[in-house]
Amino acid sequence: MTFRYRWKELGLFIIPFLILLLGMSQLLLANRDQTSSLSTRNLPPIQGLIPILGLIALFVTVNIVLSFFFSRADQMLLPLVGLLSGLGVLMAMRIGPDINRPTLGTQQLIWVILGIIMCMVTLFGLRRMQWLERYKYTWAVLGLVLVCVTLINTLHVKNLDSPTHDQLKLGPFAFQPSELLKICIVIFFAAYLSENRDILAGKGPRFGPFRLPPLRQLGPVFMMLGIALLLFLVVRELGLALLIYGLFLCMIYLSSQKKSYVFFGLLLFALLALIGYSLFSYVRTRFAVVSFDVVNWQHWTAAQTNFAENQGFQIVQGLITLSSGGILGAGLGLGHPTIVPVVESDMVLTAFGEELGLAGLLALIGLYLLLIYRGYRIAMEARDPFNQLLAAGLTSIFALQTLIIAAGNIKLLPLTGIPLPFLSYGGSSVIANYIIIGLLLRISHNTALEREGLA
Amino acid sequence: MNINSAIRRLNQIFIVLFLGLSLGLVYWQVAVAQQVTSNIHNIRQCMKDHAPVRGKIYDRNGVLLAESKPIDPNNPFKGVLCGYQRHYYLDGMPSLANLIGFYISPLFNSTGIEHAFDDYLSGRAGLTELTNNLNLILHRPPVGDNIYLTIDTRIQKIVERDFDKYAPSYNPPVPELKIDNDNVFATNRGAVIVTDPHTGEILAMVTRPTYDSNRVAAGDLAYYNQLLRNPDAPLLERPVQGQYVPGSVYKAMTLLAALDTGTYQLNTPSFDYQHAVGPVTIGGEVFAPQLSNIYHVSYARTFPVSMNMGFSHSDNVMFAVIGSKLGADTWLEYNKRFYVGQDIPFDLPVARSSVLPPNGQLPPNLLAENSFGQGVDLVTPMLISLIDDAIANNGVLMRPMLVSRIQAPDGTIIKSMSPQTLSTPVSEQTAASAREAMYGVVRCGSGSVIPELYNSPWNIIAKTGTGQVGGGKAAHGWLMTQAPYQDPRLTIVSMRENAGEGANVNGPAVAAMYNDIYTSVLKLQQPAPADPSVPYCAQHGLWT
Repeated sequence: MTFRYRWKELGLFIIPFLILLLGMSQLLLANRDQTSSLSTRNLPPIQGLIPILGLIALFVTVNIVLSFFFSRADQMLLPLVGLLSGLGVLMAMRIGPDINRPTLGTQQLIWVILGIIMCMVTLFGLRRMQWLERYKYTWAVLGLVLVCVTLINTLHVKNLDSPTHDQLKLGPFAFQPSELLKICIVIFFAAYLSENRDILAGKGPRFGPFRLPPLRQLGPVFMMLGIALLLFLVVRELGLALLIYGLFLCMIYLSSQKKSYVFFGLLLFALLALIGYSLFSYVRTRFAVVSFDVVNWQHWTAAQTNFAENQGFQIVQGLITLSSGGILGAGLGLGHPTIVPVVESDMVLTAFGEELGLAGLLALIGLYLLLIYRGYRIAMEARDPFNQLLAAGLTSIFALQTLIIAAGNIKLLPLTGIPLPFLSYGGSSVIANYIIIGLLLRISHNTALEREGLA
Repeated sequence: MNINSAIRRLNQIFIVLFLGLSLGLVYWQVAVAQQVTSNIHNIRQCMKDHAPVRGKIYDRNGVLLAESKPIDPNNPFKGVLCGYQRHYYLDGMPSLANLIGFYISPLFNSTGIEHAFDDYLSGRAGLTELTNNLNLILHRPPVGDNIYLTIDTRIQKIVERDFDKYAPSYNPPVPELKIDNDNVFATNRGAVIVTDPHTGEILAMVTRPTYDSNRVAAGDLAYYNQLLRNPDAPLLERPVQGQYVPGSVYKAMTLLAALDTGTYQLNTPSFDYQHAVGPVTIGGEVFAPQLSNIYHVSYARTFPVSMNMGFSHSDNVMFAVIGSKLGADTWLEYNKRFYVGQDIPFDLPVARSSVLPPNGQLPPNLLAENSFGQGVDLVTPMLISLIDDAIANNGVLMRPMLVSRIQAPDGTIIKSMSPQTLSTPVSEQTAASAREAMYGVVRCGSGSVIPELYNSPWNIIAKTGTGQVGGGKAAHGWLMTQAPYQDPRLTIVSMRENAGEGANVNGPAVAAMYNDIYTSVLKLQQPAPADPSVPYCAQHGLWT
């Protein structure tokens, strides 16, 4: 525990802080009566900036605390997620009043604060990474418990089309077990695969010109995967299934470095998708959206119009919202994204698309790419395979989740109910994502200490 | 460290995938953005900063026909509208409701010019689009371009008035003459197209029945739904969207093909009694004398007769023979030259005229029937107008136009449409002969029994048509005309649905239209009087 001030982090925080303050001011100005001209007398009250100032204060505090206790932890992660989650808070504040949930922004702010606290708890509580590695089956069991809880809950809810059917109600809090499930799975995969890495890299049974992975050693991994996919079939969470399968492929590739495994994985996936498509009608309806022609609306048949007004309403309106943004966007608070149902979580990308435009979305994609790059860098610098796999796997969660929901929003994939990391409204998601950041910070700190021989 | 290279590779894969995602965003937000946001399901278009101040519509002389004004607060249907209400000024020109169409709001489909030129009227095209992109960024409402039609409201009013004034409600003047189907019936449905054949400009276009576009544009959806259910289809723009059996006016098509290919000369007596009166058997079908239209004509006693004789008295048997002689390929080739079976390049969508049965094959007997306008012929008044125009314009077909120019709100001309030659479907000589044949119709034949046509000082030439529709319904009455004969200034095609004999039901109205237009609007000098009929008709064997 050596004190070293994290100047770099503070410096990197300056631009996010300015952007958030500017965004908040813009939001306050956009909300005022636009028919009267702007003068000093009818300026919005300065108190409106307090939530963002509070968030800034919290990040500065974290910066100071980390300087004392985790001075070697990566200095780029927090400014990046700070900006992303701050924008998430801004968007919740902007959307809330228009969907009759005026406290949405405040709630999201509280979730972000709780998330940062959980990030700190993770950093301080997780004294040794070996705890995660050693008790890998505990994590697997925890994951299974979460799966069971979701299953039981699903059987209770019955209505699988309700957007909240996968939530777990604990008093006033609605909690999504899937958010923690993905972390459990990555920890288990990382621990198990790093232990059996040599066997995996070795030779398995031959299959024609290809070499299959050694199946026995992969048994537990396949079991976890099977359970996760079962979860998808029962709970009907296509996005979650894609995320878990994607994570599986990423981690198998990272631990074995064999492209043939990924190839087989994709082949298996195609097979499963084909079976799912032919067996389950809801999978077919989901995929019907992908082939729906939104562009040539003039030639819609009555059935297509009906689809656009009912089952396809969300995606069609989402695409119209996205297109309405154009290159520069309508401006924060000046678009009409709330036409889209559930815009605050699943469709938040379209809200950003309309109000910040293509320019804004490309900037957001840039932020995500930087975050992912930073996460993989932490993984590459880590000293042992477990930490490497863990950091890379956790980073892959961000990458996959962003891709799956964004592809859903632009109709490349069926729309799924997984949140856009840090930007979507939702407590479990924000907290889980901050726990991941906590883990990444811890790994980077440990790596730096080991490198300096202070461990 | 092997894992590191795998991590690096994975990072690269994700970078590629994110780039793909960015391309997807470029597609939706730039490439197809305008098309997607114009969706009528996009209620943004109805919001204050998006609802355009729609362009105005004028006639060729700058008479205001349509404009948008802020919603009248007393309008009981204002909830349907978006910021503005469209007002139409169509007193005495109710047909323009169908031509211009209606526009309620961006969330409803519009019709007519309002639909076809929506991109200009709402400022999504041309230079105005750039201005409007700026307006969008500055949160100012977009503005649309103004449209100037080729319609002349003075002529439009005359044509509407005369068409109604001379609606058939009386018996034919010479009832003892059997000319086509000489019965006449009252009808409320019909169409007129008035064109300048040398430029292709449409000067007036009438359709009956019509509707009140101001009521629809005010948001009265109950009224609109009532219009949709009306069996007389008042929303239909009959001149371009109505499809009818043409009857004998379609002999003009066969005549042009016969003259242009040199198969027959107009005044050469090539038809003996059997080939003029019948019976002839074509493709196993007997074309009997009862069909010929000259069987009962007491003055046709000297044979052989010419094609001129057959055209002026509208001889079906002779035209069945001519069509068969031409053959399906040649006859269809000439149909194709006049855009039969194709889209006519026009400012409004035109229904496709067709002369083929569903299987696309034209057997000899059907070709024979088609050649005199029955069979499976189904055409729009617009198509007949094209034939009429090409004959009047020495065989050169001009693109029919309805919009003359588009102007930005500040007066800058965005687009100015000049007359455009489409093709030369027939030679100048063919066109001149066809005009002579149409002259014969009015001087000696089926048109000569209408005193208004025969005595008109404007030397109207014409072809009559009575399209039998069967099913116990009265025939469609057609009249395809141009005047003056020496140098046709305008062409008028007039059609009344299920009204009976073509010359009777349209002749008086068309003669009045020419007289009123030429006297009070174009202020033409009266042409030299026509040749006395007796010498011309006798000379060419049209009376014998």
